[in-house]
Amino acid sequence: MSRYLLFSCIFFTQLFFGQHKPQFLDKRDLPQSLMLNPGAAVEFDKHIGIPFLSGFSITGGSSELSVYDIFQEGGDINQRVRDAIFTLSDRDFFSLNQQLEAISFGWRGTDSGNYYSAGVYQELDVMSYFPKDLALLAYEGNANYIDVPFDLSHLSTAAELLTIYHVGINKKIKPDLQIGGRAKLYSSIANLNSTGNEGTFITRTTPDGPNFYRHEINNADVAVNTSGIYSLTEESTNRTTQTLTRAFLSRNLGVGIDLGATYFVTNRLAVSASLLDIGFVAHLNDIRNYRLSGDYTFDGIEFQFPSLLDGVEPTDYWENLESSFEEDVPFQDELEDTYVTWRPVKFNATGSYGFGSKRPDFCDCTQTKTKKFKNYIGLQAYAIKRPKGIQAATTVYLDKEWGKLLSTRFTYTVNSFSATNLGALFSMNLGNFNMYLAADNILSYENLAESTHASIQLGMQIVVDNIFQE
Amino acid sequence: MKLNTIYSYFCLITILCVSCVEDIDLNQTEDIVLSPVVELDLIFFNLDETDLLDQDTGTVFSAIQDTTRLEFLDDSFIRDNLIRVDLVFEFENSFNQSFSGEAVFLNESNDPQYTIPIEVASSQGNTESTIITQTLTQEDILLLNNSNQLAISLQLNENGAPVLGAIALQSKATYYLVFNE
Repeated sequence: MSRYLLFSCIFFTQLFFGQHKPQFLDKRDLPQSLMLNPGAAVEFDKHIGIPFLSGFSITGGSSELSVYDIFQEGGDINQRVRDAIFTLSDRDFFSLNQQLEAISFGWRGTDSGNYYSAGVYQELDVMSYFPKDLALLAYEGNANYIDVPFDLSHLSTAAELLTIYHVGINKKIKPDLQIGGRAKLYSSIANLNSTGNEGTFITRTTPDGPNFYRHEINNADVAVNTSGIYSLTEESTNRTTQTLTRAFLSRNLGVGIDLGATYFVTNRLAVSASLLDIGFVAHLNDIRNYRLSGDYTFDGIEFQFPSLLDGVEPTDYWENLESSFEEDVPFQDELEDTYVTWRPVKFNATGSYGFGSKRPDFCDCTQTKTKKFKNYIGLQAYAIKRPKGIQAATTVYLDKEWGKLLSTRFTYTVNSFSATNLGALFSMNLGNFNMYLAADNILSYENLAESTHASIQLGMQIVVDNIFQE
Repeated sequence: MKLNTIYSYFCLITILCVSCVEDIDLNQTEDIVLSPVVELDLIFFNLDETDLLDQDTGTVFSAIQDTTRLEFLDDSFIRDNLIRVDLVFEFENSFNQSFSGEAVFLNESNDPQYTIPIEVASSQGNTESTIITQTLTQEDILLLNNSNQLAISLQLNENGAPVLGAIALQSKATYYLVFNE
């Protein structure tokens, strides 16, 4: 079983990066840019997604390891596993983010010029750090680590599956400044959270102690919170009905906001920034928490030699040991304590420069500083707050429009996974019908197994730009 | 325009076609072996003459013995994956007398399964240290399969000299485990 645990760790460590979508940020002709910056300078006037087909994305990676690193053909797999355990640190991670737009639509107010948008999407977000010390303990035992503590805080995992309802507004408050906000209602389908764990396990040499070693568990507090999962394990539950009901509206709800703005320094040069998912989910229903906490010291079993004690029953050392351990380091598995999880906050910023006028004969005279261009070159910064700190990425990109039919973006990203990450977006318009496909880390598609990171997004929708209807 | 369309299809098809997973063999999971080595304290005690002499008569107890259950020994999880055990018993003796005894692994019915003889050297003035190490190989471990108790018995070997001093035991076990299924 331990082996499967280790295998799972390694396998998942290989999986995907999360939530970074450099192909859509400030891509002003696609509605998806509004989800990355509610204050984006979108250029269209109406959109409606094809239900459940308008947006699917899966993205993720591991910061260090690929499947190939472990499972390449030939050689000694155990040596590679060993190397991996020693190479990875407790700050290495894997993450996976998947989103599916169920409903997506928006329109520009005729008088105000505000762009309103709303929709529903489903999101799965998994983030797990490599539990280095626990992996070492499982793989090597404590024999080579006498007087070296094993840190229980290395266990840090969060996984959530939610449905998100949202409404947003995008408003031009000055000719050169537009801002936007989005309100979100989070409906949590299932959640598992084990972050903020504490404590150490150490085997000390004790030259002045009663035995060779002293085994200590110090300040242990390891907890796993779950919501929406326990009832699924019960026989009586109709899992399908329950999951579908919760997908629609769960009793574990939360709220959050997205904020963003775009400022046109000149009509060619724009800067924008956004903060996404500033919000929380309160887990109140179908909760189950598992918790191991306390302090314990063990020197061995001290024999008292009952023959020395006339007529006294022999001591049941083992039972005493078990009961004192259970008393001092209780494992609680029937807790139902409500808890709150904060959504991982994302930050995006861009600077872009437009060139090649979209329609040389056309002047968007009402929007003095938001002239459209065929091509943009830009720089992006992305950061996401995770349990052990911030993960960040930087992207440079080139947008190019190839007539009405096709527009593309090419990206080069440096992030925790790779410094050779090329990405591309292809967006095709057949009249108002739009289809897009984007992929990140394209060089790795030759052999995905060697990749530490992959990402793909695709969808189809109706996007109406009144200007082009004229 | 036409060129652009062809170009875009070319790019899409290229991405979709070239992406694949090569040169890996997931069956190798079968070969992954976990081999932790675990060091754990075992038994300890510290006795002096008051513990070894009958306070009423002043005579030496014939033999002293104590037993503890070690429930993990017959746990199948440990048993099926344990390939070697190193036991270390270290006695510190300041008695003028030597000690004889044994460490015995017992089954549920108290039948001995594996015995380690103990001979503790007498002190010649200073504290005498006696280290007994025993490596249990896989064959020996088969004998431990049904054991769930460890007993230690000791007898002070009288030599006419006054019974005065202390005897202490420290002990530990190193368990070599292999998980490969």
